[in-house]
Amino acid sequence: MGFTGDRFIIYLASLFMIFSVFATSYNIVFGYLKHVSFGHSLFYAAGAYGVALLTTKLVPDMMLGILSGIALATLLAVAVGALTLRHSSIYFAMLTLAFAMLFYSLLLKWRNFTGGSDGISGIPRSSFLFTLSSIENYYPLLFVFFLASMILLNWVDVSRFGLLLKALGDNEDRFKFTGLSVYRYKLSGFMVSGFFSGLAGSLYALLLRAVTPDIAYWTTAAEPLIMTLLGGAQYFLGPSVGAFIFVIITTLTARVAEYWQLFMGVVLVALLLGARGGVLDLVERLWGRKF
Amino acid sequence: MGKEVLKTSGLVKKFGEFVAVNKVSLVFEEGERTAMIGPNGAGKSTYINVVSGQLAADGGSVFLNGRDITKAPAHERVKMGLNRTFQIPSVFRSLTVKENLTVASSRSKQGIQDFREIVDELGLSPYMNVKAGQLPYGLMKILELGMAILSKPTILLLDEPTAGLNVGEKERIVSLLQRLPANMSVLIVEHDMDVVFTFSRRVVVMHKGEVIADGPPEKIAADEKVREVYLG
Repeated sequence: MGFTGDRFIIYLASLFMIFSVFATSYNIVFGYLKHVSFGHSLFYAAGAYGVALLTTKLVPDMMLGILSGIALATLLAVAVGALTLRHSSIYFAMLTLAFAMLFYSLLLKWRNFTGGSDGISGIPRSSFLFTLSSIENYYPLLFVFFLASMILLNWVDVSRFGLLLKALGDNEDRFKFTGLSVYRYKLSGFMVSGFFSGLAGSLYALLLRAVTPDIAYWTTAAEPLIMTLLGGAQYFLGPSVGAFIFVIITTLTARVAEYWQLFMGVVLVALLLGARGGVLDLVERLWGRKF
Repeated sequence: MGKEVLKTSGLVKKFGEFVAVNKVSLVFEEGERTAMIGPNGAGKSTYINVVSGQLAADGGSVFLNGRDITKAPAHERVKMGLNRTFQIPSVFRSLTVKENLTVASSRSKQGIQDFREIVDELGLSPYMNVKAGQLPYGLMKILELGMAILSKPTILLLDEPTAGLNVGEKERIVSLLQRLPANMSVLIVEHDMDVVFTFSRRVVVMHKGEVIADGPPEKIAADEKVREVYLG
């Protein structure tokens, strides 16, 4: 991307909003249900490829594209969740990773449909009603999606449903004795997480107007995990704070060196050893401010 | 004879070659207050774990209110009228007391109403906004008991409800148990004989996975075999 000046800031802000939604939705599985998923790149990629395939091959309407991306991601979340959530945490992590890599291989090998390693480019940022050719035009719509997503995710966080998911993650044995199905609630949480991860993926594809299979690679699933750990999994705003730090670190270090992963690794190790609850926990402990 | 609430028929649980519960057949009636005693390793907690669905049975059957629940998952058993507490109190430690009770009563609107009524009874009012993991041990046990009661079970299984508590806390738990609805059956696994003889009208003695005595407390206290293997 060759953004400069204000456009570069808008691009970074756009990345922050997309990552924020992705990481906050990831935290439903990680922070609430206490499961480490390496499969969320699958749902993110499903959202991205959903919008790319529909708009370039069927209907050049980005809004329908976003809907199809979300639908595909949610369906895959239900399918993957149904096959993995009955397994204990390490097997769950490995199975979700396997499904993500399966999807990655499918995107890579099914050249006629997905464009193989070249991916799909020229994703139209237009609808029947409007065209958002520049990033400046796309940004307000992205902001609306970001705001709506965060409001809905916050509603999940404070709702009884959110409380039940947190209780389930805290103590699965006791949860059984509330008379509620552990599996059904896990699957519901996983589905909601997949829904918003798909939305984030759709918005990302529309930001770049292109998508490649790399987006499905398991390392993409590690990114929201890193963001969540950076910000603090026990806070609703933790993943967003982590997304902000992630964007800043990757941007700054990518400009001065090729070793942003190394720098990110050092920050993460320091944080996990010194403040396991993330930046918000550190702020809370140092300044006594509650989030 | 009262209405049968829980029945186990030839119940078996093995861990490898070790038979923890060996063909145990027992019937518990409506409102019956029973204590299960026996030396460590007798199979008491395993029996509760199998009946509550925490562990799968290797043989025999479990019937709850006349329905075969041997293969039913734990949460279905709760819906059918069974609940339990654990030897080490099992609560949602990262949630507040209020949130714990909200989760426990979340299956029905009536449950929410009941939880408001039960808080004072349990003496938990001052702790509503305290994280359950930060409660003193005795209060954690009381909270767990309250959570189990909120599902309105027809039978309540309590695994060592007074273990690790001081005298005052024990008295409080026993007092709470004595005030449970008269039609609720309660089975406690307990080592404290004062609690057993204060609370129960029936005592079941287990040894090496089998029931070796079953009857009123005074009969059990005088039983030669029970004296030999447990009471001393």
